[in-house]
This record gives sequence, structure tokens and C-alpha cells, in this order.
Amino acid sequence: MKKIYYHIEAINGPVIKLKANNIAYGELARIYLSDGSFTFGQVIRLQNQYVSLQVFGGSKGIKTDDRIEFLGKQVELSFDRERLLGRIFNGVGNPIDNKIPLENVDRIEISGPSFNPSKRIIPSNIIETGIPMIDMFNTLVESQKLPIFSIAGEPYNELLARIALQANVDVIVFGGMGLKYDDYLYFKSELKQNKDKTIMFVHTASDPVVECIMVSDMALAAAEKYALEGKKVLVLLTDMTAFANAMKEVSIAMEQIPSNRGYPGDLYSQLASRYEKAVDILNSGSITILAVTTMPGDDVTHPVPDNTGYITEGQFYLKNGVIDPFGSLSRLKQLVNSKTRDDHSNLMNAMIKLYDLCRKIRQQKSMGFEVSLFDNKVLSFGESFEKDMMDLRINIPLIEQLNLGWRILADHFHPEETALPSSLIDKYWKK
Amino acid sequence: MKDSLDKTYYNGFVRDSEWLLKYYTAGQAIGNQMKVVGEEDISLDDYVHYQKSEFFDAAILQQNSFDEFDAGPGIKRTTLTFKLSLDIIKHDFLFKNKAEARSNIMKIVSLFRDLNITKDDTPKFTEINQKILKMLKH
Repeated sequence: MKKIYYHIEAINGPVIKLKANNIAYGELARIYLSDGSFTFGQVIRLQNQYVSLQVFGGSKGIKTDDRIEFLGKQVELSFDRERLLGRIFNGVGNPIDNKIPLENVDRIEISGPSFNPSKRIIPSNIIETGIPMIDMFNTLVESQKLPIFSIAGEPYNELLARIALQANVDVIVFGGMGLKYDDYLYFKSELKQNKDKTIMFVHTASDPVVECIMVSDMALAAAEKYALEGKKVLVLLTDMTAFANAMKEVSIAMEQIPSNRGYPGDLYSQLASRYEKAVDILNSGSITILAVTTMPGDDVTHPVPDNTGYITEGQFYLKNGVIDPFGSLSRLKQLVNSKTRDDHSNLMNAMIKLYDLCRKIRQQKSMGFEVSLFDNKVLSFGESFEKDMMDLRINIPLIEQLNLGWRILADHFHPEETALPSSLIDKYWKK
Repeated sequence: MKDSLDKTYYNGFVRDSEWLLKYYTAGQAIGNQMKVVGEEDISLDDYVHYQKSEFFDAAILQQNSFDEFDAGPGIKRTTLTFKLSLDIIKHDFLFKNKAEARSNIMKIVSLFRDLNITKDDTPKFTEINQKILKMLKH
């Protein structure tokens, strides 16, 4: 039996509060407005007899005597493995691509628990993106959860779009949160090239704030369903800081005690419950998560990147238009580097060590020190490394990246100057 | 502790370790000095000292925990490589200039790293060991 109530006690921003009985956390409610239309809300707090609902679309137009009907079910997403592909939805799962909604299809609950640990397997496969700074130096591993730490103005959305187009996965689920309209159109136009395997859930900066929170849940629910059907799914989220800001807005409306810089006290848990959806399922598919996290003022101690760092398995640090090799780390790369080619690990370490030396020599040179013959070799290597390896526009398979690495080393050094094992030098050194 | 380590490895192991640690620290101090005054204002002797400390860092202190041999060398292997590194560091090389010093010590580092990832008591291990010893005749 559906429960109907006619009295709202308080309306604060996107949150309304009323007295109700036997209501479940996360339950969906329909709110009938006086103009004959209706909107939905979700239970986000139960406190004695009081129930707080976050209203999708915002509380504008809601009056205290509007009718509220609790539907006895959680928020759901319409799922059809074929017809979902190529579609664009908003944060509550309604189509925004001028096509008809999916009807007569399965409905799946969103924001369920993360995957059963006993059915998880240890990550062991690489996801190739064609970008050397990822594939060769910080390999993305299937079922990994990695943030892209960046700041406003950096090309993180372009990087995300390129990964969406180039990654060797079965399904791409894109979740845009707080996007500028230009960015939305950019993603829409770029991902169109891959529409046969892409689904988009989009919240723009002008949409109601509650929908921003729902985007990641919608995207991950769809991803989980595809993964259970054996698909290799890559979830791309941008921007998790907008997601956290939306949570902050809702928690303030709920009069929660603010934590660090006004964010809710459960920020870590909220982020973790999303990132922990990344999984490699035994005898089935996988979910890999790449999520942009912009750092206000390039401050890595900001609560959002700070908490994210404790959850994820490394980070890509996008700075000055490149993935910084020293700030970036894929903690799972060791699980796959030995399976790609026997020289992968050693070559990666040797090149990074020499590039680090190059940076130090540049500093010394800028202070007016003389540079030796060897220093000049390292400087010239550094230039080639930046031009041929670090440029984000490069798109070549991993094996070609490794071959290119050997070519760059051979162009600048004698074999013994690289400190690479002689067995690898005999096998791969470009004469 | 000292007696136990000497007994485990060889008599004089702790003494040699302490000497190497001091030598290494002094070498790294020269490296820091070079950052301030530049390579050109360092004497050849100091430069060789610095390069030898870098060798010790790369060949002994830095262990590759992902390599099946370097990750957990036994007592016999540790003793052999440690003594070999001591021989290299104590050796009085006659380099003409810094470029030659760098090039030769880099070659030794490269060989030593090969040694670290090669199974001991194999012809290849002996071959690399011999190559390193040959470098000391410079």
C-alpha cells in the first residue's frame, strides 16, 4: 500500500522534511505540485518520525500542503543492454537526447552495495589507451579506480574524451557532473564517434543540484549490470569535486554539522562507496573507474583530493597540459607490467630516472652552471622524451611505445649509460 | 648484534659496513656540494668519490623487490656482492678526466645490476663477476 502525506514541515533548498511512518532509507517519493505536475524525491535521512527528502529538480514550486506519495521502492534505472547504448540521460535517468524513454525494460536499483568480495578477482589485465604516459609509465589496470587530479583550465575533459575513444573496452559509461554547457556539447560530439558502446549521464551546472549526486550512482549501476553480463566497462566521471560540492549543498540544507571546509562529515564514505564499485568479477566482466578531481587552487590537501587519495589506487596528475610522471602513480601497474613485454618495467624505470636527471640538470643550468657532455646528452634526451612521449596527442599501441622508448634512448646514449640490464640491451637496443 | 652479524657474514663485516656508510655519506655530501658549485668546481678525486657512492647506492642499497634473485639474496650471495662492491670502492682508478670516470663507473654499475638479477652459481654469474673484476684492472 502506498503511503500518502499532505503536510510538509520544512523546505530548505533542495531538501524537504515531513513526518511519516514506516519509510525506508533511500525510498523514492512522488511529490504532486499544485499546478498538476509532479516531481520525485529520495529519502536521505530518517530522524525519529521525521523524514528528509532530497527533491530531484529542486524544491522550487513546492508548497507545504503539496501531496507526497511514498512509492515503497528505491531509485531505479531503466536497463536494456542494446537500447541503452548511444543514449544520453540526465541525473535521474530521464533521456535528454530527444529520443523516447526506454519502456518495457528491466528496472535496476541504483546505489546498491559494492560487489561481493568473494566474487572479486585480483586485477591482471591492462587497459590500453594509446597514451604513452598512461600505458607505458602508469599503466591503467582493468578494475582499477584512479582519479585524474587537475586544476581548472587544464585539458582534463579532452584527456577523458580521448581515453573514451581510444581505450580497448566493451562499454564506456560517462558521468558528467556540474558540466558547463560547452563541455557537455564537447563530450556529446566527441563520444558520438563511439556511440555504439557509450552511454552518457549528464548533469550540467544549471541543472538541479540533487541530480549531480545521482549521476555517479546512475552511471555505476548501468556499469555494474554490463559487467555482470561479461562486459569490460570503463566508467569516466567528471568532476568529482562538483559531486562533493553538490553533497555539501544538500548537507547544509539538511543542517548537518559541517566538517572540513564545509563538506559533510561522511565525505570519505560517500566517495568510497562510489569508487569501491570498481571490480573485476570472477568469470565475468569488470568495472574500471577514471574520475577527474579538480583541485581548487591546485591544493592537493583540499578535502576532496585528500580523501580521494586514501580510496583510489594511485592518481594521474595532469599539470601544465601533460601527465606529470613524478606526481602520477598507478599502484597496480606492477601486476601487469611483467605481462606486457619483458622490457616494460626496466625501460620505464630507466627513462623516468633519466628524465628526473634532466630536470635537475635544467635547474643547475638555469643557475649558470656549466654542463658536461653527459649532461647535454641528458638534456637532449629530456627534450625528445617530452616531445615524443609526454605529448597527450600521441596515440600508439603499447608495443610501439616501448620500441619508441628504445629508439629515444639509443638516439642519445651509449647502452651502459642507461643502467639497463645487458640482456635487454642485447635484445632491444636500436643499433 | 655485531658479533652475530660478523659470524653470519664474515669476520669484519660490521667494520666494513660502518666504513662504507661513512664513505657513502661523504660521497653524497660531495653530490650536494656539486648542486651548489657545479661539477666543474669539484676536483677529480672528489668526483670519483661521488660516483663511487652513486655506484654503492645503485648496486647495493637499491634492491629490486620484484626480481626473483635480487629480492631475497642468501648469505653467500650477499657476502660475495658486498665484498665485490667494497673492492670496487677501495680500488684506486686512474681516470684522466670526469667524463672517463663517469663512463667507466656507469659500466660497472650496469654490470653489477646484471649480476644482481642473475642466478648465482651459474656460468653467467661467474662471467659477469669476471667482467667486473677486469674493469678493476683499469
